[in-house]
Amino acid sequence: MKPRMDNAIAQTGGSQLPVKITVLVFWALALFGSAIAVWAVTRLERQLTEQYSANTDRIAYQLHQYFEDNPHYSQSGLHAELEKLRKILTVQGIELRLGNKTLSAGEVGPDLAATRRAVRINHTASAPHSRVAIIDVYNVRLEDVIAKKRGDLLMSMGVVLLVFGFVLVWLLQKLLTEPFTAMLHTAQAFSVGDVTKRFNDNRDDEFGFLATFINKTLDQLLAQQAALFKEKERAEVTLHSIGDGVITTDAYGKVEYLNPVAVTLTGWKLEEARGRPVTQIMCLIDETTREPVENPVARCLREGTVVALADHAALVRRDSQELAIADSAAPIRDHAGAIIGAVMVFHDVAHARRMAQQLSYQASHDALTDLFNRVEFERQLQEALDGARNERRQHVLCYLDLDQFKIVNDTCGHVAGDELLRQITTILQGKIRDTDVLARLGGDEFGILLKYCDPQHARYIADSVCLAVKDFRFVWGEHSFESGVSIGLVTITEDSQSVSDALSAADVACYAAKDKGRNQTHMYQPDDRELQQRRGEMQWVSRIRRAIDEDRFRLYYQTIVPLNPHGGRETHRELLIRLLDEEGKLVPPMAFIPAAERYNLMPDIDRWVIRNSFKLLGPQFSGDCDWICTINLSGQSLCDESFLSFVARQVELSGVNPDRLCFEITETAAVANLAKASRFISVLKEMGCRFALDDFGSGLSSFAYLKNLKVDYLKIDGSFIKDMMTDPIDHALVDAINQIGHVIGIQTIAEFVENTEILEAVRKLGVDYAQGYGVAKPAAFEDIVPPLGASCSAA
Amino acid sequence: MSERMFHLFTGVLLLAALYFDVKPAIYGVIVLLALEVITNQRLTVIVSRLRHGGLNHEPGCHDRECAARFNFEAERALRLVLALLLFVSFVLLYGQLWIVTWFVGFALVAAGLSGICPMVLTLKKLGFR
Repeated sequence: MKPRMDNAIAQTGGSQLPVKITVLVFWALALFGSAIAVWAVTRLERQLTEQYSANTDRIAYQLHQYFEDNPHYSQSGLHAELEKLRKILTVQGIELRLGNKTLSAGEVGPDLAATRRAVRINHTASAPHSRVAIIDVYNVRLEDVIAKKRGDLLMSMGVVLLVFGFVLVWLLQKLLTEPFTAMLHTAQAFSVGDVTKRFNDNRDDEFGFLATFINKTLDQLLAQQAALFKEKERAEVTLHSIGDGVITTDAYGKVEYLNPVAVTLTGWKLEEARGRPVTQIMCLIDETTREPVENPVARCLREGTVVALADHAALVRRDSQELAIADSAAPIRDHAGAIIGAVMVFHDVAHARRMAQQLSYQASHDALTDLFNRVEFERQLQEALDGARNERRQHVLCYLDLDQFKIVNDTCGHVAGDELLRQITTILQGKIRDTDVLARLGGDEFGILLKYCDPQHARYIADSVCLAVKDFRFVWGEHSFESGVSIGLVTITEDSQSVSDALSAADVACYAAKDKGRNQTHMYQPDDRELQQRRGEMQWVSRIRRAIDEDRFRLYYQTIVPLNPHGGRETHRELLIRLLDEEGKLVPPMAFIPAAERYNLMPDIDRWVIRNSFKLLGPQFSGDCDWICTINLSGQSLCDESFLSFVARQVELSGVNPDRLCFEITETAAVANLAKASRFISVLKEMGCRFALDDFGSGLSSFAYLKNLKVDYLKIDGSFIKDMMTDPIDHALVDAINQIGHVIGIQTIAEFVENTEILEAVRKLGVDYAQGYGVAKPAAFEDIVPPLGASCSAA
Repeated sequence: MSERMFHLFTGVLLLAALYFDVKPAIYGVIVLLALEVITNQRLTVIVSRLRHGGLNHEPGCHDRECAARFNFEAERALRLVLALLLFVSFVLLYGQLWIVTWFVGFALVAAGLSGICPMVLTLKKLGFR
């Protein structure tokens, strides 16, 4: 810009304008003067010609008059007349020829211009015939006069016009050239960098106005330049201090600028990178595929839009190191919207990407075993389902449940349980194929997806897993545990519905396998009756939950009567539970209790029973009452750490006398959770509660357990009672249990006493209590609950 | 002796000769100009050489001169034009073109006084050096 301006100034510089003005004035005056001169000289020539002719005519006329007035003229008189005329008319000479006489006055000769006229002289007395006189008037030659006049005219005009011209030039220089040149010098000074220079705006003419306007414009320009510079400085400082790498390029993708972070990240110095293609500075690859990634600047310049870098992009630095980055590129446009470059912003995301990978890994893996977790397993199962549909291939889903994990966990603690899971994981990994997917689905539940596997081979693999787990003995300190696993298998085919259905079917199959005993497998079949029943139970789960939420359980009771009325024994009333279904019909417990037990809902039901029965009984159920309320507790509730405190708190809240309470726990539940059951019994017995061991004999447990369980009553399993009249073995067993109970100091209760024969039989054997349809049928509990403030007596 | 002085001197001489009708002087001017054109030895250059000890401006040229279309100096061309104009207007057709002779005289005087010769400028514009 500046050099170009300097050239322009040099070309139109100081001498050009005066030259133009001078030339203009010169030519104007020259043309004007020439025209005037030509016109004046022509006019002068015409005037002289006319004057010469007029003078001759006048002389001729005067002479004619003279001859008329002086018919007797004399020669001297005529000569005097000629002289007089010559002087009056300022001619050079006059020559008169009359006949053969010639008379002249003044200068005559061939060097002068002669004009001739003829004058007729009338006859007189002395001259009876008229005559003709020839008059020649001599003047200076016309060319000479004109040349002289022309010289005078031109010289005077030339001098005048020259003077006028120089005055005009001087004036124009003063008025135009000097202020213009001054402005030119100011502009030159400004253009070479002296921004303090200003045009002289003190004049009142157009130059003053222009100077004011230009000065104002310059001030505005400088102010805008300062603002732009400030903005540029701010932008540059921002770019320098920004935490992201920034690269700007021109419209051809050539690097123009790198900020310090970009220098650090790319390994290129600004001076080295400037002018190079951005693709050379920012060499990008895909971290996963190792394929080159298109530079977003190139795409941005091509498409004119903001472009973000693809995921997993890595920058190959100048030193060949790779750096995970995230970036974007945006076009830079001018006022007209044309793309003049691009800016690329990027930052190091190696840490973030590692964190994301770690999070992704954690989100899909089990922290304990490092296997896939349920979420990831379900995702892969979904893929397998899709694959089975699209490729018409089949897979097998295995659902594994460890048999002894709970014992290990309860006996040796969670650390041992965790170690067991890890070791089992190693065993499982050794038994499956590389293509199979193994995952931990829950506490002691595993899932295996056998891809592209037929049911026979899947069963073979499952059996080998069972065998391997069975052969494994888990050793923890002094303890050694056998292990076992139950496996449910489901075939994944194109007909499989969904992931949840497949998992549900596998779960059911696993339960079926578990029911077969330890280390068993079960292949799910759609028409499997057992599994359908299990599925029915699973449907009960939601119905039970809704019933609890909607308070749709009803309490019943069945009386347990003492068989020896004189023994001072009190009547018991065992609480029973019914479910009021959605249509208002009562559902017997056997319809939903198995499902509740299987799906761990018994603690919730037990809590509902305790909370509602205690509320009904209330503080009036005190020591004055002559009956004892018996409440069944499940084995799951015994294992619930918070259940004991719940019971104690409910006793406290309701004001029920604990002496009037008896809790029934089944023999199998008590034995399976011996330590917890013992503690539970001990604590509540200290409060005054009593305990009965329900269904005694059904599990064929060792009588030795009775020493550890401080129960008050043994409820002989009903299966022995109901057949004791026909089966002597059952009769003997009832007798044995009764006697042993008495020996230990525990009272006995006979269940399932359905008729008077059985009632009499158990009475004869010395059983202390009897319960069953032969004694009393179940009835609504609310009917026998003593109202507030009323006495409490057995009905 | 500068070209400006030459213009002034020649113009004054021409006008004086015309005014006083000294035809030999005018012929002399025409001959001088024609000689300068023919010999390419201008009086101004010779005087300069004599005054400045042989300093010759001929070999070098300014940028604009070097960029000229013709290798023919504008001052030499001016002299050619002047000689032709004077010859035609004074010697051959003075009766009709007397104004041209006078015009040349006044133009030379004006050029000498102002230092600006429009004809030289025009010739340079046309491409003369």
